[in-house]
Amino acid sequence: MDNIANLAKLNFSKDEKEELQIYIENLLDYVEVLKEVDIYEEDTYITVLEGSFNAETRNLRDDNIEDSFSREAILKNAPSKKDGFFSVPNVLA
Amino acid sequence: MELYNLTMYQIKEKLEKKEIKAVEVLESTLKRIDSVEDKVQSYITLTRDIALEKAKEVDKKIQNNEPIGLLGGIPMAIKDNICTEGILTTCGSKMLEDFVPPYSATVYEKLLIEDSIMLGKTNMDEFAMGSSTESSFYKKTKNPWNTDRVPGGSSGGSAAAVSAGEAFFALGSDTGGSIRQPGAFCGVVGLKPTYGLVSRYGLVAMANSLDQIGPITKDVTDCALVLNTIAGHDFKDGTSSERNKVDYLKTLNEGIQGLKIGIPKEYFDEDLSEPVRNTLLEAIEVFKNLGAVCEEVSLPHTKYAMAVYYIIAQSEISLGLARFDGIKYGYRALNYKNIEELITATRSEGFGDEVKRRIMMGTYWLSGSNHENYYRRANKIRGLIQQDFNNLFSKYDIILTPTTTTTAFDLGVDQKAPLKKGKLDGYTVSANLAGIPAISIPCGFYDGLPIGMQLMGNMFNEEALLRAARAFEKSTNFNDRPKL
Repeated sequence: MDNIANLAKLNFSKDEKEELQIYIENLLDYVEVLKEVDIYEEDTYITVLEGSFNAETRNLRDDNIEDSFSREAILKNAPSKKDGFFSVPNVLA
Repeated sequence: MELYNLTMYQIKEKLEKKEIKAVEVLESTLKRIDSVEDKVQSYITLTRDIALEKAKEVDKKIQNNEPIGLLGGIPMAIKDNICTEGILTTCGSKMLEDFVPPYSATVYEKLLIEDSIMLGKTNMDEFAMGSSTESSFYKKTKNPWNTDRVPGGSSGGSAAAVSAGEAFFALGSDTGGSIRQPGAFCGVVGLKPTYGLVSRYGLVAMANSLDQIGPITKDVTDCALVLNTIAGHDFKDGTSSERNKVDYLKTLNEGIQGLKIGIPKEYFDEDLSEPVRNTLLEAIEVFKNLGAVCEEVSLPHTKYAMAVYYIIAQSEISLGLARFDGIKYGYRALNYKNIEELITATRSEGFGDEVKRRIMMGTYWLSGSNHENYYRRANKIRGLIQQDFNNLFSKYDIILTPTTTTTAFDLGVDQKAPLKKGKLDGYTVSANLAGIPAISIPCGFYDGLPIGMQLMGNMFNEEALLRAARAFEKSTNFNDRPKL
């Protein structure tokens, strides 16, 4: 659990961990049912997209440079900013 | 009859004939909001001033005999996970308490181009995760039919607003039933369109391969009208379909003589409550009398749908919500010593319990060998579920099921048993897994609460779906409004 929480970048109190433990165990039990399905065809791995993920068959937007948001608009929602940049604590020790 | 009680179509006609003004329609709706919002609590944000400006603009156009848009002068509401430029968009979360998006979702732009009038942003389960709208950080929306009951979720605010006459229509989003289930609980029409029919640009993603935006309306005609305006290709959404546009109003009233309806036995299981079962059996008789051919069919992989849904949805949630780090936008924790602590404390304080549970599970399903054993396995079974539907749609036009096992449940029940409610979504998740369209329409009442019927159709066959729903609606009378 601590490993998963670390990967998910979440902290839990002792009580929260106990509750979560029960939830996880119940859910693991619940999805056991999937083990009884015979999967013999690899190609049942599907997508809900029309066509495929293949870039040649999908009509993607041309890769042109276009106007995007201004620096002010992007920074407007930042919880901390300085000199026109996002501000964070030291990343390199 | 008060204006707020009319349908969009009725309002549209009156505006076009100049019998009423857009400002009068708006004022009637705002007055309704003033008198019932304390009880129902559909909205997180109201935008009265912007609405009034827009209504005056529409009146001016009508006065000058200029053409107005398809939704000209019609007041509506938007779920709070759909971005609206310059207007607070919280996703029902503390994480986005102050988030004012610098851009608008494509659907919102389309509704504005058609001259509709936005009243505000509606309450929802946090990041659309839930079935009762109770996981919202802000408030608990009540069911307009009985305020001790939940409105359903996650688009509970949207469904309650339309049901209570606080908006003529609303947009919701549906990942596992979040439009259809609250639609059923609140006695309104809710459509989850085919994956790719409506642009998701500007919808704050919950699970990318399952999410769709759709309309919640008072009746089926209104549903077709809204779908006409929001469907269509969008270059800003790489998953949006390039098919030609369809006019869903054109064939709406053509009837259903000879329509083939499959009724899957797996959806009439032991979880289904007696009142809903009996109501559905009566509804099937209505369809037979209208000339449809109804036969029992089977969707053999239905029993795996919930487990598959949990794994796929939670996995996609854990990836999608990784972007909330307290740096670019949203909440930031007050106390931290370094970047690691900043991110972890921000996420732990900013997200609610249900969101954290799902992120944890998603991280688990995707880590190490679980990826193969759970995530890939679930995706393969998703393929089998889709094949079930493909097989049926070679012989049938429509699949008919209940939307939910019961009518709306009591407030407070859902939060206590997070896994139990899984069964509640049991009838709706398969349409999202397969990508097919599905609609919920009112089909009866039990103990003063509405019951919903779900119709599912083949990919991009919203026409047949809406035609069947309209034929049923025309020959029955379940579109009453709640007395508040």
